[in-house]
Amino acid sequence: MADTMFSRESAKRQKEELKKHADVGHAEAAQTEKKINVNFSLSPASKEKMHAKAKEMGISASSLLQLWINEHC
Amino acid sequence: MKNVLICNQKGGVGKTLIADELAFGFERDQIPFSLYDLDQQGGLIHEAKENDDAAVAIIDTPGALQSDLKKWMDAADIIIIPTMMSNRDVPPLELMIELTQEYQGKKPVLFVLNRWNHYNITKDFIEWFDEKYPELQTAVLSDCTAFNQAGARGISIKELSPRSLGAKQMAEIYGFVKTALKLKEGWR
Repeated sequence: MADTMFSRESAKRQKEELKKHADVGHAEAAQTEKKINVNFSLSPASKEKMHAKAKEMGISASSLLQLWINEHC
Repeated sequence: MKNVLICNQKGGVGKTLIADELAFGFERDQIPFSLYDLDQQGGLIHEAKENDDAAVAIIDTPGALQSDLKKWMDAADIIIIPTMMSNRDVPPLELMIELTQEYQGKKPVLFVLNRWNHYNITKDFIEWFDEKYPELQTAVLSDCTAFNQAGARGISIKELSPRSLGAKQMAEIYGFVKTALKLKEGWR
């Protein structure tokens, strides 16, 4: 992944936040709310379809995936 | 990769709102971006993410004076400073103006005067600001309930209410960023 000043700062702060949550006894909640970066691969055709559908619906590709997950998972 | 730093030591001035709306804009234009949330209070609609192919990084910062702020400003390609328009906002705003003085003319610095409304206090504030700091670049965001409604639904103001004043003003801010950083649609 990118190694920039801001990525390092962000990772450091996330870690500190998790520690704070753990310190006040909310370790589980902190883990649940932790933001997760998801990597997956799509064929160019699928990617194009996804963006076309998102554009047609007037929403972002992320929102479209979220809708799909909510409906099917 | 270009860095868009959104900062003000005062909280509740609209930093996260602007970070989210810029992210929505980059998504619409298919400009790959990273989003760094240095403000662990949360509140972003988007999840913080890192993208190896990012053309631009949005950095949302905490509403408190940070020892690293100067370092972040140095690394930024554009600095956006939102502020509310009340007397309470003046001291932190003036500190931010002082901190960004050295970047004037070297990199874009945009002050976003947030929650404009029809009451005299915001009009007076804009007059005061324009008179005292005529050289600073500003944009105005209206006190628009569509921002709250859009936020509650997890969508951008443009999706919710494309003809609203807030959507037009946000489009201007987004356009400013895109032009200043020479970002093009359909990056890939």
